Amino acid sequence: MALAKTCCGAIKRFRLELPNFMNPPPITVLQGARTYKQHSYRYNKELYRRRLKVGPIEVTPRSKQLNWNEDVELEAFTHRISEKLSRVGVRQAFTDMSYSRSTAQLVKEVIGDSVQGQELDALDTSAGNEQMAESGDNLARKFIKDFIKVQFPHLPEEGVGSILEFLMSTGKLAHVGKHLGITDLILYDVPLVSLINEEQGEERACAFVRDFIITQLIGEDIDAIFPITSAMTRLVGLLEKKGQGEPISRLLEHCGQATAVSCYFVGIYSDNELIGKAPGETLEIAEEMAAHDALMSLYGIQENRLPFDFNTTYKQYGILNSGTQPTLLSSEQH
Amino acid sequence: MTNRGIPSAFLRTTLHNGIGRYVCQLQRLTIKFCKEQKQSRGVRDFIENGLVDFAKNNPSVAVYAQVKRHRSPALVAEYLNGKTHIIPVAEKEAAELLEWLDFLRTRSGEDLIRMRKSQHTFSPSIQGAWTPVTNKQVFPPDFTFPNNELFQAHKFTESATDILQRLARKSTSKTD
Amino acid sequence: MHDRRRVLQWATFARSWWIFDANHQCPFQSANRLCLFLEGKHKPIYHPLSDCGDHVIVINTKHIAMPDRFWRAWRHFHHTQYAGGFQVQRAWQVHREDPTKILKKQIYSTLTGNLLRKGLMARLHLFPEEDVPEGMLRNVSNQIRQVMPVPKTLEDYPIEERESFPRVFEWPEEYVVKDGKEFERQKEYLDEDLSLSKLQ
Repeated sequence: MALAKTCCGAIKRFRLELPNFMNPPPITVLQGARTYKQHSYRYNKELYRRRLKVGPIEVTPRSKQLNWNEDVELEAFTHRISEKLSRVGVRQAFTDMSYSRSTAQLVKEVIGDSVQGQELDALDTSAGNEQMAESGDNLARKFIKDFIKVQFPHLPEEGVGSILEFLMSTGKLAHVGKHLGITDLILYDVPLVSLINEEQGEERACAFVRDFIITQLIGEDIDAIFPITSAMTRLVGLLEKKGQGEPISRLLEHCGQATAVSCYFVGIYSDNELIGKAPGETLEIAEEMAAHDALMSLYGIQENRLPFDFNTTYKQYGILNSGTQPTLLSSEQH
Repeated sequence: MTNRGIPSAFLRTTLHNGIGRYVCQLQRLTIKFCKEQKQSRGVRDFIENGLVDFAKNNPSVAVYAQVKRHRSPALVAEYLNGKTHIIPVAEKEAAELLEWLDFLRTRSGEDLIRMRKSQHTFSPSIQGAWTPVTNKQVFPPDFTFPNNELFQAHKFTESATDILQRLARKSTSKTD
Repeated sequence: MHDRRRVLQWATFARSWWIFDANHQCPFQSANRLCLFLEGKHKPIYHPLSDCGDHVIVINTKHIAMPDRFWRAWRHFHHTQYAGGFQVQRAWQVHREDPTKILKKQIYSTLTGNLLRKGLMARLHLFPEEDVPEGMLRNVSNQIRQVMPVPKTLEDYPIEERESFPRVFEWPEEYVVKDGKEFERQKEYLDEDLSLSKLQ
């Protein structure tokens, strides 16, 4: 799965902006910072209705506009992500097989022997960027998996997989790509991670993945990404495996138990110690949520956990060592 | 027009900028100017003298200079979050232009509207939100309501009885 | 599979039931205290529009205490809706008819006079004695502390404590202590006298 594939897949996006001849595109003008005009509300509303009636317009890529220089843009991009990459490599990374064969031929005929034409010749279109896409994907997935394992050492494989799929989902990757300016550059698709890996080394590639893909995890509810089903059964199993006492649920408090808007607070105890506590509308719900709470604490994904560590480099984590569970190594070890 | 009728937003960054690494949010800068009119004099001056340095110092920004005959000059800044900011620069000198460029360069690209709060956090509560059980007195399981012994009024002043008893205790302890 | 956020929000806005013993309490001070719980001002999540108030059960409203002058002079007004039907009643009269009315009226008066007041009054449950419906008592999860200390009468102290209470001074031997049985003793003396006179 290469980066931002869906971005290009959907060419004909529905844009709610009014066409250029009716109104300028959505902008902020510094002078008169308050652009909201109440007197034109009705007029704008009618325009909006007519616009919807006309239907979606075909979105032209940014590169079709007048002020576009591909070299400049690619160079700016490499500086933006603070990586030193060759222009040819980046162009190859951003070019998909589907574009290469047909369009490149056309472009070559037009440009001829110019510098750009020679550069296009140099593109190894037969190799394509599919291989790059795959290798980049593998590397990214491996790094993310190890990173999650270091942050949440007690999270089961299922949870790690859920978070991984969430981060590497097309939607998330498209979001990242869009906000790095990749949508303007791609001629379909981005196996960028692989390119960075080749040209600058594993460490930089992993840092790239960490800085742009894993940061998408900040502020996200792990509960939503990895929903824990049949909490009580899991808890029983987990405690048995750990050799701790079986979970016992006790009613801690209640609010209006004889009313329709009752609230119960249930606690789960193991070896006479409180491991989880939660409220619920009924006793059953409260018990299940308490087990859920206990599991979250045991997996290390509780709401008040420490924030992610984005400063330590991957080497200090011992990530990508084959087979071993990644842990934080001391400075002597790496 | 009150704040309620005008658009407002919460603080936000693009792609958690700064947590991993800092990414300059200015993607593309287009300087539109005219070659002849006096309004673009400052812009032309800047293009001749200062533009190349600016472009060199900010390699992550794609800088374009676009000629627009007989039109007012403007700076068009495109940001990574897809938003565009146009600054008309007619009659402005090169020095002022540089200041505007600095302003555009260091912006996040979000709209210039009222920020509802000056802070934003993904974890507003560390200890958990308040419930009626937080800091509640814990009663034994067989406790029944009402229980008058536990919920008597606080005694903030000594009654005459208390004073007498205290004095008696003091005198007996003295004699002992 | 239930939503963790949903149950947490449910808990934050859960309505508790409180019980308050009005035995020997001042209705005015009690009303001030109870209104806080009815409005929800005892909660850190309070907002006037949040409807975050709790239920309050008040028992022993029959045994509220006021200074004598209040019982005599405090007036309650009502109109029978007939011509010339403006009625004035003193507190003792109101209390005789309905032992919960004084406290109820006082709480109503103490609450803010807005549209929420009727709703809050519906969450107030007053009982003249300790007799509360069983279902209602099951809801109770907390108790509101009394506002005034309940004074102890002499009979409430056990005899040992009465005997061992520190004395400031001792009565002289011949002093006759008034113990409320003077009349009986007078009768005894009279009987004695009569019997003596009979002897003579």
